[in-house]
Amino acid sequence: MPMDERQQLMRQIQQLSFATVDLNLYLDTHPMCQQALFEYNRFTQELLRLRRMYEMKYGPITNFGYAPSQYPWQWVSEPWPWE
Amino acid sequence: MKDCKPMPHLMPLEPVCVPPLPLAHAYIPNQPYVGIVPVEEGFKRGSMFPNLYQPYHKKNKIC
Repeated sequence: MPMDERQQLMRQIQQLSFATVDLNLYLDTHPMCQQALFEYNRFTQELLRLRRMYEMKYGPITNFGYAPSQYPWQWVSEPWPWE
Repeated sequence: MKDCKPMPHLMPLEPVCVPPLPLAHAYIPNQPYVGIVPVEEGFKRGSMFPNLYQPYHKKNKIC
């Protein structure tokens, strides 16, 4: 089944989330590697941008104070971020 | 606790004379930075690092 726009954006967020975790783990043992740090910061900026875009359009990805909500309270409105 | 005794055919119950060697030695080679793959590719592979990508192929099977 082809992904709709929301699912495509979520997939990009998942890809960047994975990339930042993997680079984070590398940097834990190679803290002086400037190239890895550059990529980590680049992906982090892009991840923040896409998360904000997703949450503006489709509602919060995380709750409990990790993302603001529009009115009315968005967390309980479907689809859920994992749907 | 009796279940925790070693299997007699795997380990001698009586102490045997062995030289004072370490039980095992783990090592982790340094991982050089050789660049990363595109995020779409890394997500599929499960690694952003080309030098950590070692998929298991049946044709390379030894036994």
